[in-house]
Amino acid sequence: MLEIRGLSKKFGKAEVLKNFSHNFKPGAVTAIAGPNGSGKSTLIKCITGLLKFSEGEILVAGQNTGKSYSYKKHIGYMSQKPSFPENLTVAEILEFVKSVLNAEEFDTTLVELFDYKKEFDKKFGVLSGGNKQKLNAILTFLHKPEVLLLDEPTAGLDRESGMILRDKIISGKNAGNTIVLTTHIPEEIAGLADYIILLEDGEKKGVLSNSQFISRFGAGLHFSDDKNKGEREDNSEYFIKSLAV
Amino acid sequence: MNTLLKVLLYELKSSFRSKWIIICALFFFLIAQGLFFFSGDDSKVLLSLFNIILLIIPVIALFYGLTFFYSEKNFIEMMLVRDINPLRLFAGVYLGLTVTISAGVLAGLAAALLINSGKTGFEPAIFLSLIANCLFLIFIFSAIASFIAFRFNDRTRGFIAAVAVWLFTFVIYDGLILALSYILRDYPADNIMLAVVLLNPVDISRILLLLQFDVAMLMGYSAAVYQHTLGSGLSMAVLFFLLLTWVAVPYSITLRSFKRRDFSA
Repeated sequence: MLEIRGLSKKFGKAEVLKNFSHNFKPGAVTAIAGPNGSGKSTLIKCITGLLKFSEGEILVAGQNTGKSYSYKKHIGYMSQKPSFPENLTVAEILEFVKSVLNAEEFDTTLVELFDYKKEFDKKFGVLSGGNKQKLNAILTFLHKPEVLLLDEPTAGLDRESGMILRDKIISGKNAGNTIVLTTHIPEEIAGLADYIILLEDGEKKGVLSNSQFISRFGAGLHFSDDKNKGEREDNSEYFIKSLAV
Repeated sequence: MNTLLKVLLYELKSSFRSKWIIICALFFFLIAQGLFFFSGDDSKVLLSLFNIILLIIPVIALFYGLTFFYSEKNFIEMMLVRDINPLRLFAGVYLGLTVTISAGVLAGLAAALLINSGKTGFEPAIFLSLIANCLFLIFIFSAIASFIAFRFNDRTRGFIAAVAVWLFTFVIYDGLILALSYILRDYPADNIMLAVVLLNPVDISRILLLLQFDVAMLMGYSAAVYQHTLGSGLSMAVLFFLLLTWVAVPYSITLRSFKRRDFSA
């Protein structure tokens, strides 16, 4: 469903992605892990079509992404920073997105699961960061995409909502979707990812299965809550450095 | 309904709920009304109003446009990753901006002009010409704002570029023309000067109105040359075509970002 061949991306003279190739398996969650500036977001933006790449090709559902934008109907992208006009209500935003998507039916299960109908009359500008991120998640799954690209999906969500989204990702995986996510949180990788790609300086350094990942790094993982955020980030750095070795 | 219209209506729904459009309408109403109130000669009010418009509209279109595009960038990015024709998406967003500014400006001006239409010996042709020039300036400088916003991710740089554009088109360009006319003073360079003047949208707009007001003879030799060379209907059409080109060029350059898919907020 998603295949990348020899992808390179330069910003000026700086090469931020170097000959990246990977065949993302359907029915699996692949995490892309790496330190800041390793090229994770650039990779995702190349797949979504937001960035033009220097070399290589990306195939989504057999369609070359360089040829047309129609492949995007297969893609659901959850960015870190959802943004809509602040004066519009949640209901209006949902209606608008539905109206411009060429989908036959819509998946609104996350509206029920997040108990989100009570937010429908609120303007986007007054929503909390967590509620904006929930709307972002709802819109990502709305047109039932087969390829999901999730950039730090649980960032900003409370623990319960994070678990709901995790379950939704897993149900997507079980339905045969191809799921790619970026995260700094090792426990999220352990809980969700079937495969882990390490990206460092734009290069693919290796791929681990979930069991390899847990057996090698499980002892060092902390399934911590937000008050231990600092410790968790330290742990994340430790994980990345360890994997690089 | 096609994507362009859906995006346009969505943008307008959001913009018309903001207080900005009311402030803009009120601002132009008060300026026009003030001119009518304080001016002894009503026939000069439209000319004064036009000079103010020429000064302020580019500022509003540039700076409000820049603020608008910077705040819309993430939204555009979120839409671009979906199965939406990017050219229609951009056209919808751009029209959303220009229609909003136009509505604010025109509501204020039209209210003042209609209130005073009786006592000024209201001339619809001049009024329509004023409106057309307003619209062109809004569309041109909004297109330039979109180009700046997508060229500079850093807002500070973007705003510095906008100030530079405004200063260049409104002040520096005329200074350069003055210098050029001094350098070429011994040569028959009327046509060269005319061609150079027509490269600046503010000057094109100024000439168009100048010809409409029929005050060219009061404004020196150059104005007389414009009157002589550009006074015909065909020349007016050429001037409008040049203004259209000024809308199309920055608009097309911004569209290339979408086509080339190198877009990132």
